Amino acid sequence: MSITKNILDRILSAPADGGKRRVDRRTITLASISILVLFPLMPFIDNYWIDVGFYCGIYALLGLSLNIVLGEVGLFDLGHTGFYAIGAYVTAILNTQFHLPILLLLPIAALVSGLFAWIVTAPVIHLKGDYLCIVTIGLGEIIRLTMINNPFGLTGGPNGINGVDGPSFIVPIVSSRQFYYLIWGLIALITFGLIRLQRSRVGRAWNYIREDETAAEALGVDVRHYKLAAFVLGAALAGIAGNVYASKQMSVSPESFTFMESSLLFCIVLLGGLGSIPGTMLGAVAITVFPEIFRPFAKYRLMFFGLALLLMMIFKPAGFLPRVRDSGETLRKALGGKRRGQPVSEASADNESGAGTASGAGSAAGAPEPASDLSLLEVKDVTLSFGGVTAVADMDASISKGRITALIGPNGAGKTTLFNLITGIYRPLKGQIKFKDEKISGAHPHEIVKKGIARTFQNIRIFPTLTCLENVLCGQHCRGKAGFIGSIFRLPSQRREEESMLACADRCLERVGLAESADKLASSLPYGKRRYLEIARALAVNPDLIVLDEPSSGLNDAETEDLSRLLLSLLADGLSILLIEHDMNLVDMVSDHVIVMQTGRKIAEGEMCDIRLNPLVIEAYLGKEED
Amino acid sequence: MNTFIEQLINGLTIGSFYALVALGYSMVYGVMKLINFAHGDLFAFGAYLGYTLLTSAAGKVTATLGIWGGIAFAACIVAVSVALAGVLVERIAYRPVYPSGRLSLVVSALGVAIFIQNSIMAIWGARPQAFAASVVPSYRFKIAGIPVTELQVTILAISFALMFIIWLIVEKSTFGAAVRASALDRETATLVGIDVRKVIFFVFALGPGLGGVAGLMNGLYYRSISFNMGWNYGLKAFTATILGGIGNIPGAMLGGLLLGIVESLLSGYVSGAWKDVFVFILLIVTLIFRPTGLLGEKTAEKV
Repeated sequence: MSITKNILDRILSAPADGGKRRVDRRTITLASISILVLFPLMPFIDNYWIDVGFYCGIYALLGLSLNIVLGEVGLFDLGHTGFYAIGAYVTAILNTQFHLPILLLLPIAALVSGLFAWIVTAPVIHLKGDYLCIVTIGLGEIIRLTMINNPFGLTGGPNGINGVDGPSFIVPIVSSRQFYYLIWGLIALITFGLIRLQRSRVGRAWNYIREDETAAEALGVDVRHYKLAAFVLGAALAGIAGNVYASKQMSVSPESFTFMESSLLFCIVLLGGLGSIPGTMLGAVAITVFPEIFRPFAKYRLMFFGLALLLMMIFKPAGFLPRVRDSGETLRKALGGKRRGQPVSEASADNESGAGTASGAGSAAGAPEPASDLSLLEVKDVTLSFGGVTAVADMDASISKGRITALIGPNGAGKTTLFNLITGIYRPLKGQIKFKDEKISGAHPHEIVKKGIARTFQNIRIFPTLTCLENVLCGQHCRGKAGFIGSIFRLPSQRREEESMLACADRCLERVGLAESADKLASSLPYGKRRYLEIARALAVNPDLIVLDEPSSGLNDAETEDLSRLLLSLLADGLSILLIEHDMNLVDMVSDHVIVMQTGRKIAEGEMCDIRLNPLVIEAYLGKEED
Repeated sequence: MNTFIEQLINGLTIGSFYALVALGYSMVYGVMKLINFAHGDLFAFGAYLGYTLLTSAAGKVTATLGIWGGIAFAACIVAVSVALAGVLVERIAYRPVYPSGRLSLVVSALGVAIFIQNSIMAIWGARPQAFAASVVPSYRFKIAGIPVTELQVTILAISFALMFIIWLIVEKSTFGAAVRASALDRETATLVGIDVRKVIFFVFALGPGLGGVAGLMNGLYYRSISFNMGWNYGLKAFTATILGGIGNIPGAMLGGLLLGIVESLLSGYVSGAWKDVFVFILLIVTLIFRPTGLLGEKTAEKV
């Protein structure tokens, strides 16, 4: 019963607020760990309850594995049991046929499950939301039915496979207690890795995708890669759970891997709190212990269970223990024991900004005229149409280095489409786009960002449930290299990289005046500040060209003036800027060069004072004068 | 050739169940953007309710009204009761959770599904139940040498009639336009004066109502029903919905009928045991090449 007490304790202490909460969390974590360790040693706990504790562990591991896919990346996976089944069956088949030891099969089960996930999800990973969901349901069912149909006599049909050995690690693992420690030991190891992943470039990339896939891709995250990686890692962990399950049961059969199981896993993650590791574990405990408590009411217990799920979602939709985002301080502390104080980060900051300005220093050093001929971005003869509507037609444009170029035109002129072509969200039907004399049309958005073009969006696309710091770190993503291994083992290269990313993000936040808000959730910012946050995020790319889509829309006059000052100071730092703008005052104040578009074509180009007098432009905005 | 046509008719019959259930999924999804996992279990509830009315009531209904009268009476009661259950589900389980986002809704839907399924088990027992032979029409005849049952013809006629009516309502009537508008953009629909709550009431009454009738017909067709039949039918019907293009009414009908026919031909000519595997592979392959289903429209996200 101590499990339930544990739950109650945690539930009751969860809503504690403010600074106290952090302390509470640490004590609660320690208390939970010690309860988990001591649980099977308590005198009044019999083997039955130790087994319940073991199955809690299996579900916790499965929950953690699904949490990667569903919680971190936000992919609806309702067929996760399939990967679990593969781990279990691989273990059972190889063990009974070739007598391979169970613990050796543990990594093999993980590998096969992961590989399988990669093969089956690679062709469907581009599907959105519910379409991906039904595909995963389908995969889960395909796997289960295949096991039932006993292909090549391998899976033993509906009865499954019996006679799987127990694992042995120095001594054979047979008792309930040993199994309990085996599974929870594995979970401890895995959790350690997962927490490190959460606080790394990889984990953040997953969260960016969950929050806004398009924005993540447009700011340099290889969405496809990270989604697949999540599936593979999730499947591998489920495979591990399958391995342990098979050896504990000494058998496997298809009925353990039904759609109902997948739904349970889905519920575990949501009951606990999306993306929250302790939450997921608590969810697993709740799901396993609940039916045990209601065992006396056998007939009605699942009815109650359904009802409980429902009530939970009505009264606590965010789950038991919603994920708490790490503050900048936590992220820094996590980087290592060495007290790296202000001086170091400041020094690296200087280096960084020095490098940043070096690229465009010539243009910014008070002599913008000579630089103006240098073309940075070249749009040649670009055409794009959507189902018969030509959005951009034979567009030519040249964006000069060290200048602010404004793209104006009436609504529907194709300005944003041109932006999307430049940043790679659309591919041109005809023509090509060159950046720094390199062809970029046809490349993926995340590749283009890496070359040095960063953007903002017309209808602000920040990552609402992440902190401002994490939002801005997204810009730095494409400048980093650290992968899974580096992040889990915190290799020195990863630490250095992470430190410079944090320093850069801080600088960018400071630049737009959001330094104090670094640890606030982006969703808590007022509208105007969100625009600035988006600009900071783009700046964090360390771009040569920054592309702003209507940065002043929704801002009042004072804010617009601030914005123009910011833009000019960015220019002074050597950045080139392309902006779409409707506010002619802003255009007048900041831009060196103006391009006017109408119905997908360029109708005029030049300095603002000339543009104002151009009859074609006047006609485009005001209509033709009749006389 | 005759076997082929027999399989085809059988497939059409099963497909029409799928199509009727798929309509409910599709309409609810359109307006709520929610996979109503409880829908399959409402279908099962319809089957059980019909069973109680026709078989458990000691055949009194059939005795008074005749076989067809009994079925018509049961169908009306089932349609109304399951529709009511659908509306209740929305009120209790979905409306309060709606603001918390789609994932919470999915869990809520799974919770309701588990609740309904186990309530059915608690009420009617875990063992499968059978419709008494005396309440099911059994007349067989041949059309152009192909043996068909009276029941098959009726099921097909009623299903197609219902589908046609739904199609008329959703695609041709003013109210249908409101339903479609709410499906496209709920907020904008509210802004132009559409009472979205009325639309939601409508889809949650109509969808489960149709599903309940499909459940009853399914029970009559196979004569045997089990408390967990909802999972399987729900899953298949949902597959059909996605296959046709979710949120698309003709798509749901096409997907359902197609799925029924493919299934029936597969089990007739390839292998009954593997048919579901092939069905899901077919679904996945279709989605790889047509990511929004057969009739689903390609939607470009505005950036």
